[in-house]
Amino acid sequence: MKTNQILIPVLIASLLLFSPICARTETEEAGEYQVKAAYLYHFAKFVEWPSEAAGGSAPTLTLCVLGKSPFGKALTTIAGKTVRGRPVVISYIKQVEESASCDMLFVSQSEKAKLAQILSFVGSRPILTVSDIKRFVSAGGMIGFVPEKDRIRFEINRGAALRSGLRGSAQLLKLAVTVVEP
Amino acid sequence: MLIKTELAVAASAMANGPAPNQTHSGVMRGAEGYSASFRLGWLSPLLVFCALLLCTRPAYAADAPEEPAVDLTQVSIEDLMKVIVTSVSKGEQKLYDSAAAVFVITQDDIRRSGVTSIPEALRMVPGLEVARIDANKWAVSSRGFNGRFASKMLVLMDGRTVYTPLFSGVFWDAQDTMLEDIERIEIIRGPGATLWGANAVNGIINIITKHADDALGGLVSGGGGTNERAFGSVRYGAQLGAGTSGRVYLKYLLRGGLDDPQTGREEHNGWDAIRGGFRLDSELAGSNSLTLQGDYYREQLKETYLNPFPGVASFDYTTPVSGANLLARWKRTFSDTADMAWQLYYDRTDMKYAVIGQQSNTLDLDFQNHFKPGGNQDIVWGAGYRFTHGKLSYPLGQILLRNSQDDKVYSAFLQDNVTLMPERVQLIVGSKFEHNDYTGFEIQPNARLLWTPNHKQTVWLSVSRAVRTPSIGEDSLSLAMSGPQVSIPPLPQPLSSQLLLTGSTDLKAEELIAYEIGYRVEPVKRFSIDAAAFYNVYRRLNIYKQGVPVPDFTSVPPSVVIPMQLGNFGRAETCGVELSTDLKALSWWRVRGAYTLLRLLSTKSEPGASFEDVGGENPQHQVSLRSSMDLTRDLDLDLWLRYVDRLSAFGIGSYLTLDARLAWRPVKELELALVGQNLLHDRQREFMPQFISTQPTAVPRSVYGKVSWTF
Repeated sequence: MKTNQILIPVLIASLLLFSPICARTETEEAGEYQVKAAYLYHFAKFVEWPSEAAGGSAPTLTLCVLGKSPFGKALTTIAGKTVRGRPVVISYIKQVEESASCDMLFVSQSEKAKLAQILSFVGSRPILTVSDIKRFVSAGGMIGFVPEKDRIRFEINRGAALRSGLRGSAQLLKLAVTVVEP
Repeated sequence: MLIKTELAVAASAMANGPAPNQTHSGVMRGAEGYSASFRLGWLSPLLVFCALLLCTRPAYAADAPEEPAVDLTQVSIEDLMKVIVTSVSKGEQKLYDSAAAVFVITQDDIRRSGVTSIPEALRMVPGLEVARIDANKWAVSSRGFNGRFASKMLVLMDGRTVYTPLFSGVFWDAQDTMLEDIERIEIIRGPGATLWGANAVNGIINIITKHADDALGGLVSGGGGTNERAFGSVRYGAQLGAGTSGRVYLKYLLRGGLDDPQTGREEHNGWDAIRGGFRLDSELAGSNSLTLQGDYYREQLKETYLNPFPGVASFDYTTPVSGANLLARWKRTFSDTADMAWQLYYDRTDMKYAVIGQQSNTLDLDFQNHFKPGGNQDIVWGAGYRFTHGKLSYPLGQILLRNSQDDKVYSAFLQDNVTLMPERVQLIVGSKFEHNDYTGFEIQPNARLLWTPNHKQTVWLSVSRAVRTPSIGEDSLSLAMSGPQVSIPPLPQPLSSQLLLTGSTDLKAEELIAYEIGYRVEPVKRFSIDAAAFYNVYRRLNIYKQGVPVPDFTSVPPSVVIPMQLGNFGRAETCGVELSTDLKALSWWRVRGAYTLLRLLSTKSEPGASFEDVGGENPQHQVSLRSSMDLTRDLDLDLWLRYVDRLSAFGIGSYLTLDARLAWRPVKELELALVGQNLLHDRQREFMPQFISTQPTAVPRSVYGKVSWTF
């Protein structure tokens, strides 16, 4: 009992004291959706739309967020930045039917229940679909965010992208955790 | 029930940002003696939390749920993949924001701890006590009352209850699967009776395997060592069509026996097990999802019985155990806030112990529905039916129970999550209504209050009632055991005695009223603390009352028969504090701590009835400290230090032990691991067999190697 009374508080105290000393930043840190916003920008850079290949693309690159946006202010960092000369425009939409003018479509978690319907509406339109809904890629989405420990990685459905005429660079495919081709 | 878990999470998560020996009077006095010092000891952690609460509040007074917009677009995509995300994933977040004492063991925790079985993994959980009785027997319990047949905790595997209704407890040897395919193990300490029903008195352990989509491809692993003689497993998962995937697995293990505590010689308690199973998951049109899964296993458990009954000599035995199960689940999602699920399963277990044989067949049907009727309410309700047919046999003729038993349980539950202040205060009220064949109708209500002052802090309070219903073992037991020597004055020699234990058909359910409080905080970045404290009042606990001894002169030599009658004769009060801390010290170093304080405040029993030394069967203090280091990208080093306080009932002193794991991945697909367990002692006793007298053993220091290959 004597040893316990000393040992336990010492263990706990060392645990508590240790924490602030050790908790210094080493690697870069950021909020989840700040990272995801930056990823969206990079995806746009690594993907070529069929209209671009044909030389008839719209002057802007429209990123649509479908449903309840989880991004907060994070997308303001990519709005206005240019991708191959096309400034990125952010558009928030409630229904997938409003996605006709979108180049990229981010499907929020709030739309989970309607996912099958959303993906069938997009069909083979040249819209890059991205989401962090679980199993987005196996459901037919193009790029899905997947958590890996404290970091965020992504997987790609190459078949779905190809059917829509989108071409992703080899580098993007190489960086993906998994590439499925159904 | 997996479906219930998800709903429990959904329901409780609205919180935004945000679950037998004799009594020795000496020990009893001891327990009372502690209570005075305890009161202060119990308060001080609370004072610490309050201090933390006060200290941290100003820091987050500004409370900015919106993170400042940081421009990461200049960071290359390769570097983006290395950025540490400061918020945890959604699912985990929700669970940690529930109004209950929740802990989650992830797949990563299982892999990196080097454990080779599910009960061993539970050692990292605050509030739980895990001890090995011998190689194939464990005592696992939440918040006290531990033992091989710890009866007050419910264990579920993918929604299938594995608590055996015949013996009131969990046979941990049989609860296994491919460890690599476990997604997570959720542990809720305290009563979870509203959603889970009877026997979820002190806690619920929910083992959840991966969705078939998350275990695609092949995995082969194998290895061996000093105590883990040989083990190997194979899994293959594949996409079977649009929206459908499945996997199959096969696993074998051969474990050596634990040692004789004195001589260190390996004893006759090793075992081997083979199991296989499958899981199919299908996403159908119209937001329907279907799961079909099943397992089959066979085991051979070696055991040594030490004079189990009067007149029965010690002997070695090998117990055959087998079991199978099949489960189907259909879930339909109507919207983000409404869904329903049906689940049906069949489970069969068959075990032929030397002293008792048991075969049980269970059929269970569950339904539940979740919806939001209006602005600030979120309702989950459900109903279920379970039928168990049990057959018992008594090879030695010493234990006598009924030969067969049919149990039917009807249940329904309703829980409402009311948002009192959006994103700040929630009230969760609900009750389970259950009818069982032993005690009839039982109501188990609870009320919980969740306060989230800001996204870095959560405070919760709860009051709940839970019951444990009797089992056939308590209902119709008749068992003779060797008792102490008894002196009867005119006779010159003391006589040997027999204890005749008798069950009762008039038992009422054991009852618990639990008061809990919890606090979670992230005082500085990358450091979090989760604390819970409880005060439990148990009534109508089942204990034995001694009757009038009857001399038996017909036996040679003469002996005394002491009748012991089981009844709802006991009351007890316990309290405790559980603390878990998580420190991501550096990007490559994480340290996690767990501390458990458990005190038996009092026990009361009717005259003539006696408690086992329940206080001395559980450690008062336990500490676990896990360090996980990524030495390089391909090299992991994990150290796990554990302290367990003494168990006075068994004469086991406090001990400190260490596990270590070194893993190297020369290529992405291949991992080589070397694991050392119980490194600080040649051997350590952790618990003692109770009730059925098998050989006591000690856990030796052991080492094993493992190779895993994915393709």
